[in-house]
Amino acid sequence: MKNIILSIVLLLPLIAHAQKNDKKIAPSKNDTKELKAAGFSTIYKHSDKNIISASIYFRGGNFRQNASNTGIENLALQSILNDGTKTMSKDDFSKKAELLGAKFIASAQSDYSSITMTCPVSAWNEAWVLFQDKIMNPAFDTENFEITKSQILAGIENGSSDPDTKLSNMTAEYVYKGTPYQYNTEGTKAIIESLDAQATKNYYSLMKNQSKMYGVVVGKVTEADVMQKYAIFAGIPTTREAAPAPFSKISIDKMTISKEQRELATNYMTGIINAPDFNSKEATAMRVAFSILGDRYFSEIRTKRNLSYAPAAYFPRSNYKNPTAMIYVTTTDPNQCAQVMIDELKKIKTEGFTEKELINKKETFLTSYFMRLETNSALDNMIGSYNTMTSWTEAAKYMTEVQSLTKADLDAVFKKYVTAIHWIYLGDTSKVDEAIFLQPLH
Amino acid sequence: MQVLKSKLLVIMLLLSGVTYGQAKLPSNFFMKTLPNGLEVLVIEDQSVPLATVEICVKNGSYTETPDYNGLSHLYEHMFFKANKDYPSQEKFMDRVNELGIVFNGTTSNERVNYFFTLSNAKVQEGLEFLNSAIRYPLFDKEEMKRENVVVDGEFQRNESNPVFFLMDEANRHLWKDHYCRKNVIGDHEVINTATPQKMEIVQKKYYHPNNSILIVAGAVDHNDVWNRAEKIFSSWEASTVDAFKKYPVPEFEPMADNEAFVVVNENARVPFIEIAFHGPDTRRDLAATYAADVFSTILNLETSKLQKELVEPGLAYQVSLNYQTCKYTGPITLFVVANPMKVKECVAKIKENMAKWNTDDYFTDEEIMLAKNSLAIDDDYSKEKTTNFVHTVSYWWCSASIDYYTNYIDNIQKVTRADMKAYVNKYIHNKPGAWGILVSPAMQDKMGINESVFGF
Repeated sequence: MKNIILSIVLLLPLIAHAQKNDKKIAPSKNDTKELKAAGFSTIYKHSDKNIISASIYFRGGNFRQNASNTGIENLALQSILNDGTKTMSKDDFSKKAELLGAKFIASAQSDYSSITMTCPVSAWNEAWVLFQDKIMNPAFDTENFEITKSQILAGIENGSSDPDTKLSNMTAEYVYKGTPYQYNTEGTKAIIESLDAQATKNYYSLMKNQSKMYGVVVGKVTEADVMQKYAIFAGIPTTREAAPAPFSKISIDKMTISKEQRELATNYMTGIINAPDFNSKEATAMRVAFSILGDRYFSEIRTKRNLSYAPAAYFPRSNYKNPTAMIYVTTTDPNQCAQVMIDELKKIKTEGFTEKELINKKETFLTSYFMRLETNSALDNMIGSYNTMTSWTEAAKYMTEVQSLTKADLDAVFKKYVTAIHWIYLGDTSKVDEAIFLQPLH
Repeated sequence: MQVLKSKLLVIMLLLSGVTYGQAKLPSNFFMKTLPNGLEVLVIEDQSVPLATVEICVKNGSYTETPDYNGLSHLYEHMFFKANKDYPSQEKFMDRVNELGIVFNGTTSNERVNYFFTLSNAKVQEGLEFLNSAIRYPLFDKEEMKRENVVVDGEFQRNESNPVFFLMDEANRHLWKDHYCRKNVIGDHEVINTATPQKMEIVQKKYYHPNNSILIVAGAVDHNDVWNRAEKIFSSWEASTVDAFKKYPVPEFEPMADNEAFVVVNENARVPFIEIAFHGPDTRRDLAATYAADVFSTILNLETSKLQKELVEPGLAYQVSLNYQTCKYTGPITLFVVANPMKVKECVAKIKENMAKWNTDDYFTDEEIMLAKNSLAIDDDYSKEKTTNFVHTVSYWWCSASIDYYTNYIDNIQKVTRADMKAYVNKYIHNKPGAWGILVSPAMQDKMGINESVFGF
């Protein structure tokens, strides 16, 4: 069986709107708040679900790393995850976590990293002891470190055989060249091979800088409890870190293609397009616009022309300081697909979206939004990532912004940012007609 | 629209008339069977204002003969196309968008399910929309011709990952003449030449209320849902034929000998090893399915002997043992990501461990306790997200029963060391299996890997 194996009110008006017929649903409370646990910044949201999610976020990501060590942050976090602590052996820690049902996840993103623990409400106090011990007293045992390192190296090797992972790595390498986003957060084989336990431990010491850290807790816990527990992190010193070197943002102003030959059953391609800053109001409009574009690709590429199983368009929440939007398809007929994708971009730039598309998309966004609120760990992640990107308070405004968008907002943002494409292509390169791929969008 | 190869739950309450089956169900589960045999399960969860409406049919690759291999999955795609009330896919998608639906469907060995998530205020519209799609598909010839290519495109994506070929080859060795019964993605030729007539045959055999369950989960009231479901679905005519009696799923012949194979793929970067056996199923050996889950969980504990002897010395990067609960012979699969420099040592250590799986000291009482605890807690985690949990419930309905699921944790607690020993002796120890390895041509040349790597 195992195989299958923000409120701030985020939503008050929306819940009321969606829910008018159901009196059983308790109204969402304006209960997301930032606490200062002995000075340590912690964002807390109460939830009645049976699983508690608690995290520590570390700002920095690729901006703290460089060409010679990118990947070390992920290595540090995975080493912490796969090891014991200074007070508990790896085996004792692992058994205790299993017994309590405490699960640990570490994530290294290009702008931030995090360690998250989820546990049943009944195990919260004991599980917390494990969580804070992992953050405060990681062992970095040499033997356990080498195991983790070899697993990461195998993951890097294996990732290069997966076409989607390879496409993502190619995007970083070709599109984001010259920026901190050019490096894969997992690092390269050469970099990871060069790192030892001591260097990784030293790096984690740099990460443990209170001014770059904050906590998030979502679950059936009291504010006083959170204040008391997170206060332990107030003992982490605030250190002066050199500001990240400024970088020149990439801008995709001309049609370009980067391609690599690989014998595959189908060809993988993605197009990277300029996008607004996350801090701008245009970002929400861009997200909705690209979601509608995805629907149009589904209709034009899959339904009408059966050119692909998997066309898509979206504005990902990544690379916060230099975001881009993406179009994507896998196909045995890359030229025809590229033509249809470009035609649709041109059509929207000329004719704009329809009112009906926007009205419908608002409904779908609302459904998706509530689906993300179902688990406390998803809420934790939403609050935590917003807090790195802008501020946790912005998460609360998101759906209100979506609901207030007009067709003019979408048309304007589309015209402004969809000016050129940097294509990334993996597959049979002889099938690519560059005259089609590189035709202008106007 | 995904092919699922996972496991998943049933209710055999085929009683006449309207039946209320509240005994033994969790407090937020409400079950009713309509006169036409359609079971209606409501799972109440008021945490977010959504409803997920799912219809699940006992269909999938286990019902397929070679000339129909892949057509349960193609049928699943056709569900989202033209029907009597929405006569083109464009019209269908317009309605999806109007209702703000997040939708999908999946096909696995023993289940096909279709689900819409939407505002709980639109349950009526969701049920009506589902009714149109499940009962009145048109199988438009032109739409189908186009969709054949789309489904084949999904197939090609699978084939672009080298691990697919290892798993596929293992299936061929395991299931022999009945390979198609476990090959969900199907056959290129069958998919590309499928006709509306073949879809109609699938529909006539399996798409009946008394071979389906409707599950509505979320911020809903069960009486309200039952009333709506009864009005909408009662006119769906029951089949007078039990498809599984008329078109029985053949039993899988046990393997006669161990079979070893090497899959060479130039895109492989790390050697993968798959070792698979015929395991128990929920018709013939229910008790062993629980023992299998506890045993697998023990071996997957970070502190297990298997992990310590393979991962810690650097022979393998990852090791996992899985048993997939099925109604018809569930596979037991050991999956290992091997260190390319130590493949032979890795294989030797795997075999050394497997030889001890039925011994009294291979795992401790503490590990048994930890594994049972882990399974119970995983069940709690699975309930947190109702929009996904509904799929878990429908899986069990197809491959076991709702009772199987609702009593699962109790039965897991009853598993003993002797049960697990019996399970290993019956299905794994000295039993013939499919032993395969995936390597690149360079790895094969450098390490001299061939079938003999497994020692037989």
